[in-house]
Amino acid sequence: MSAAIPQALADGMLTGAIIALGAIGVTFTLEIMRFANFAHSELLTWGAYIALVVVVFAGPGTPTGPLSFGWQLLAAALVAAVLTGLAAWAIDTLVFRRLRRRAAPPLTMVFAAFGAALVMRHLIVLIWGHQSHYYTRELQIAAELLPGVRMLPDQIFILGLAIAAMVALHVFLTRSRTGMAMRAMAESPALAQVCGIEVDAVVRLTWIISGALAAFAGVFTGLTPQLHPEIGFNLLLSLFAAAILGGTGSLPGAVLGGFLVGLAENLSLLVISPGYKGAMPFLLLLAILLLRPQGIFGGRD
Amino acid sequence: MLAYLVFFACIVLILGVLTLALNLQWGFTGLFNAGVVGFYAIGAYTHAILTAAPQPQYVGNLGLPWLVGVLAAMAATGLASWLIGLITIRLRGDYLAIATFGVAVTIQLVALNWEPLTGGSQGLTRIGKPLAQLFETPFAFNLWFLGLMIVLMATVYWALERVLMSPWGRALKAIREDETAAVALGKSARRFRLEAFVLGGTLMGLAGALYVSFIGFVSPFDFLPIVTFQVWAMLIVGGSGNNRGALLGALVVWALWAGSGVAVSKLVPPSHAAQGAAIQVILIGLLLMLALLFRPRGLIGEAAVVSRHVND
Amino acid sequence: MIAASYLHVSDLVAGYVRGLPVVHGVTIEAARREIVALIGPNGAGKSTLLKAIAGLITTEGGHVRLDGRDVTALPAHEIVSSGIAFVPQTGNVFTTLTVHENLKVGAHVIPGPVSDRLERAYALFPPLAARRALRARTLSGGERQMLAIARALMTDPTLLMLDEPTAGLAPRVVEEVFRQLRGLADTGIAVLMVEQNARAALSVSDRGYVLTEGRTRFGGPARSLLDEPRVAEAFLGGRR
Repeated sequence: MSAAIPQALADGMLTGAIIALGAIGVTFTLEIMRFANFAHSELLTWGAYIALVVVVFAGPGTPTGPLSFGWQLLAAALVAAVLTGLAAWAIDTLVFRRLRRRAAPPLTMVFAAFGAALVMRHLIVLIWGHQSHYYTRELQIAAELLPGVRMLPDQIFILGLAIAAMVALHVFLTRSRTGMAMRAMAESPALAQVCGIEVDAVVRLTWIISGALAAFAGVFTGLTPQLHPEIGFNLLLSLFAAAILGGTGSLPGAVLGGFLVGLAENLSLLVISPGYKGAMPFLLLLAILLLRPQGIFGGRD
Repeated sequence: MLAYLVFFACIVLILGVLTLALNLQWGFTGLFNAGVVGFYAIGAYTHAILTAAPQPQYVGNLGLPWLVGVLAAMAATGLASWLIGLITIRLRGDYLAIATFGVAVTIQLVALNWEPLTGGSQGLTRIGKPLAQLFETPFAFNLWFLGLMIVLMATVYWALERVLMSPWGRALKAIREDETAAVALGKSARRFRLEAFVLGGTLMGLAGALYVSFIGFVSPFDFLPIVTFQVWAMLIVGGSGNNRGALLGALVVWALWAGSGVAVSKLVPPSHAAQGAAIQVILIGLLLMLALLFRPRGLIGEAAVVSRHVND
Repeated sequence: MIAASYLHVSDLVAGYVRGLPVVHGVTIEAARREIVALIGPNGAGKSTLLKAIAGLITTEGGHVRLDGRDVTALPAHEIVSSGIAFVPQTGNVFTTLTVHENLKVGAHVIPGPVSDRLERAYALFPPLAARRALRARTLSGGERQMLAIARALMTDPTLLMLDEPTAGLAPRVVEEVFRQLRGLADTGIAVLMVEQNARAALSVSDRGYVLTEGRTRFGGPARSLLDEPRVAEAFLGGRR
């Protein structure tokens, strides 16, 4: 049994990286727009399927090295990131912003988000059906990184790419003017406005970045190993657990939260039946909300 | 046609009980329960496990009488509501929604996985119906069940209205309107909210028991998050804070759902049934979001917005 | 009309909710190099007035002119660009950002590098230089106020508005803050401040206005307001 732990840790790191990418968007929406966007997980699904559309036309590319795909899939992921980012902004403009302007109460916002999520998910079902799709049919051989730890080359690549994306975002947030404006808004939209920051512009950027990251998370999920319309929805509770665990509004928090949730989920599989895997993030969430609701990095005066 | 209408009416009344229960939790107490379907499931499965005809592979299936099943369902859901409420009621609005949503997902997973008890993905059949042996045809039984539902609904409605007029109900209203004043008067806001949550949960359990005793079988796929969405839609469309509105909302939304399902199945060839179902959900989802954007106050009664939110 | 007035607010009507104004037609002026104090009881609308000038709440009537230019309907970020800086009473620093980052955010609307502005801020407020890498939440009350003012100065404003800059500060620190403001005014900035500590504020100001219930009651040189018995009665602590 203990021999399975290193593998669970490795799997947990991969799941964690994907959850972290999605949780970053959730944490900023929670902090800047102050609402729980139940539709965020559907952005992952949309990102995955938009990339699929590109792959259907352009192909995933001949496998490069040990990977199952070529640069074309990455290009498809970039296209998906841009389009999903714009879609996220469009949905905000059409639905959520209108409700915010009216100072709509949390119920309305959450219900609207739930409704948007339903529509988004079923649009995918309408176009693609319930069955699984694949970016590539290439088979891979798992590499043995350490004794008892096997990962597919794709998975290692994804982990690296996800970490690179998080580092890039961190640099953006701490070094660039716009990034700092986002962090300022995450703490206090009122003071940010006093400093001359254009609130609408920052909100727009937040949606685009959140959508783009979600798209990457979706593509990575779809790659390991398949796509279906529920891939985003299945991660919904994990995304929120990670964002809240890390402390809303904190990028390092979302990243750490993501990895912790991923690790917890995979480690728990060693003791509970896989059918209950979906309950793990909920239990984690409950624990956080009861013990330390402001999360690890949260809590400001 | 008449058979269909009877069936439809029974379902509307069952969903009406659910909506009234949610109205108690949300409209009167301000608790954002995003896991309605979970409580519905607890009631349904408790009744099923206790009343279903015995089978060797199942731990439950005790074949107990219908009434026992219904009462036990209410008790079980009430107890669960109390435990869940103890833990979650102190959470802020959005977080309460996430937590209760997670509760419902977990309950559904338990129903799906704990085969010896719940029948897993196959569910349980031959569930106890009230006086089923007296009725020859399904139509006759449904007609009797409709009569039973009308009586039950009238009782629940009347009881709720009485409870809300009582000192307890007035205190609840005072807490909803202005928590600081109510607390100053010495009423423990938390206790009242928990009690309202438990009462609402118990009614949801009742609805669950009634549902499975009407259908005769239970399946974990009847308890997916979309049911929660449907019940919330009923409350919002009808205008929350108002029991009449809740019932009207249940009728309108279910008519919309069932009607659109029929329309889609007529227009879409059976080979594309899945796509047809997706179109149905998309249309209704869009309709509800449009309603939210342009007519947030619902069809009748109070605004769908309660003034000062105690949990925000 | 005061000669060479830089800020001219005329008949301003504003509030937080449309149709429920808090400020009912206020007219005030401020010139460069002078400190103008706004005093009055709680709820008089003094903070609301500053927020309306800063573009943070919508004005329903009247005008705000800066150096002749009408800035009334401009969005908040353009008002900042036009030279108006505002230091709110509370929540006036980003506690999760470092001192250095706070200052940089303050210069958000300034295109191009801001390193010389940063150096000037540190020269003006040496304690901030010593703590530049620390998060603002670790600063003391006086240091936070310093940071809030330094942040506002990053845009080289021509009009600096402060909402109760000395609230909760020790008397020695209050003196220091007022001394700084005098120094800033001397460099050519128009300083408009709302103060609860009316006597102290009028002692350091050139002119003042008394606001009650959203309207200006008295206005004039600070000295004469200090001596005016009606003002003294209402706001400076009772009959002498």
